[in-house]
Amino acid sequence: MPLLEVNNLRTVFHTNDGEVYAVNDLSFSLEKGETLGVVGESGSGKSQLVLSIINLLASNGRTEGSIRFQGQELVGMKPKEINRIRGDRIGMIFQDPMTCLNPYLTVERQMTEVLMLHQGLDRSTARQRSIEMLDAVHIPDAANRLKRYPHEFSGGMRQRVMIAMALLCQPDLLIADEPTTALDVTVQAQIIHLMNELQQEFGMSIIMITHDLGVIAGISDNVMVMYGGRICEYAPVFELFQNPRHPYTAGLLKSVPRLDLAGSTQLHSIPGNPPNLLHLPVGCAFADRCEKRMDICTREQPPLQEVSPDHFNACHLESKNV
Amino acid sequence: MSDLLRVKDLKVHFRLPGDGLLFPGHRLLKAVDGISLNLQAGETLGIVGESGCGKSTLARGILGLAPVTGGQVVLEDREISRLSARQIRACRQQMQIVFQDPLASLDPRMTVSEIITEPLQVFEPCLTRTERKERVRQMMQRVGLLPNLINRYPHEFSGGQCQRIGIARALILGPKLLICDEPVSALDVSIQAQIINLLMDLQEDMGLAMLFIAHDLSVVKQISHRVMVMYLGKVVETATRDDLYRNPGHPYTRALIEAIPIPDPEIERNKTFNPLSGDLPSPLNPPSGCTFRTRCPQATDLCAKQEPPARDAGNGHMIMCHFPLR
Repeated sequence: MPLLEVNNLRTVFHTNDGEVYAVNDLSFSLEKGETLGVVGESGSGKSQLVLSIINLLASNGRTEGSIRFQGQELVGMKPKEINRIRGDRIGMIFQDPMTCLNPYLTVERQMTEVLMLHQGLDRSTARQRSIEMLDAVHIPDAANRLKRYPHEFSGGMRQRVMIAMALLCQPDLLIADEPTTALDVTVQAQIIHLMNELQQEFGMSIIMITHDLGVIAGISDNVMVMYGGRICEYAPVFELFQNPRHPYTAGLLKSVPRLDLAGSTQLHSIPGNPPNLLHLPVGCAFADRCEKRMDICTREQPPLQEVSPDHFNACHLESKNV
Repeated sequence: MSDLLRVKDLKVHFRLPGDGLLFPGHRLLKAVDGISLNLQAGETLGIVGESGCGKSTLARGILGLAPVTGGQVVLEDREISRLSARQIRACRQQMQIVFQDPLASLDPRMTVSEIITEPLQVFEPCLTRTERKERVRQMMQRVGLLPNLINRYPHEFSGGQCQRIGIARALILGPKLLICDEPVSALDVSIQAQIINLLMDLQEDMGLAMLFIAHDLSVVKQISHRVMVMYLGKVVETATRDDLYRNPGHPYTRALIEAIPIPDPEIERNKTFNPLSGDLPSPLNPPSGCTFRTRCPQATDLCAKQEPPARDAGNGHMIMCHFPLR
């Protein structure tokens, strides 16, 4: 049984301007110990996907479909029950560590609270475990740092605190939503290195959301490319980078300036802008930016089909080739 | 060819109130501490460094938007760092800036046409209304904005389009120097490529001199002719693009280059490197000698005692390190 199984997930927000379809008919599964990289532009629905999984949508949002975590259905679960899973068996790291830590509480209060609530530890044991975890994420002088407030840490250190907090209860699934976007490249390299190391140590599964294809290349086993709230391509990481089949994936890979290759005069760029989720087109959401658009693309939604083992692509070109 | 912009030993120091204990009186924050550079027409100088290294303050110091406390800024043989607010205003026609956050740098209550027209009203008041309109229309077309969007407001645009509006506003007066302060770091990858291409095109057409500030070394590599690496308010290395990326001479430059993840799983997973440990030290209390020594894998006693001199490795490749890499 996979650790996480998502079937026909749909996330809808009710707004004054109408219904916004942030995630549409999305299905995937995640095995134990696997790292899934999720790539997409802003507004592709990648953050709403993970917020749906952990049931933290804004109050005007609702989720349909099925999300099974360790065989348990998460959609429609009562807040009391999901609270027991969230932070215990599913850990989360967000983009901006400053807004995720409570500025009024010391790191000690915030860390021990997790252990006391979820695992019923007493304060001193919880404190000891927190120190061990801060050591594990390489925060020097952990015992003293524990008494500090979040603003006394640098950006990279704060992100380490967030990771330590997420891992306190040794979750089976760690969700990381752009954990390094706000950080400098040198610190980003430290954090990615640390996440790889911790995964080997604790063996958890990771869902890693990022727009940085370099980060994806380094950390993922499988990659899911999202566009307009749907999966447009899903494949093992080596396969995806060597043999991208969706025009969007291919365009994205070509538009990244590369350090390891000789710079060309012009970068490949994808014309136009990402779609507005309020007015998603009837057909393929990428159609109006696509070089290979055909008539059918603006009329019909392309189905997600398996084009080679474990490689899925949602593009009408695949049907044409068949 | 003579240089369009020459910056000599520029210093931007801020006086901060003391904390009453360790530093009674006041403390001095040396955001930019003795930076020299020169730039020719048609050339792009990339400036890279971690957040807090002073790269944005440098840009502001050059434009006269931050108080310069020492050194010179010479634009077209004219020293501009000591000019009064009124005098420097006239120079701004020659030098313009594009900011990082595309939406925050546009007035939300002005339409696109008002935003792009405003510099013309200030600097070229003799133009008739039709002439102004025509100039704006041409500029919008040049940066890839459809003319029918002219009466829209900034919030109706995506990030990439807002950045195009910002570029149009900066270029409508035909400046000679364009400073881009992280112009693409807030944009999506596919849009980032559009804006980089646009800037490269515009530079070629208009013969602009560009200072391109970014923390992303791969973007800087794409667009720059020469690159300058900053650390804690100082230059640690300057070189032509190819020299810098092929043979980085300063350990900090090499660490920055190695830290960039390569979007290719084969390469990225077989990469062996030790990421830099620690964070940028506080600029209020910089380390003695070489400021990078606290994070440098090869620092020695000498590095703590003495500030490294600039070494010339040939072809204008300057390295500020006691033990440059070879």
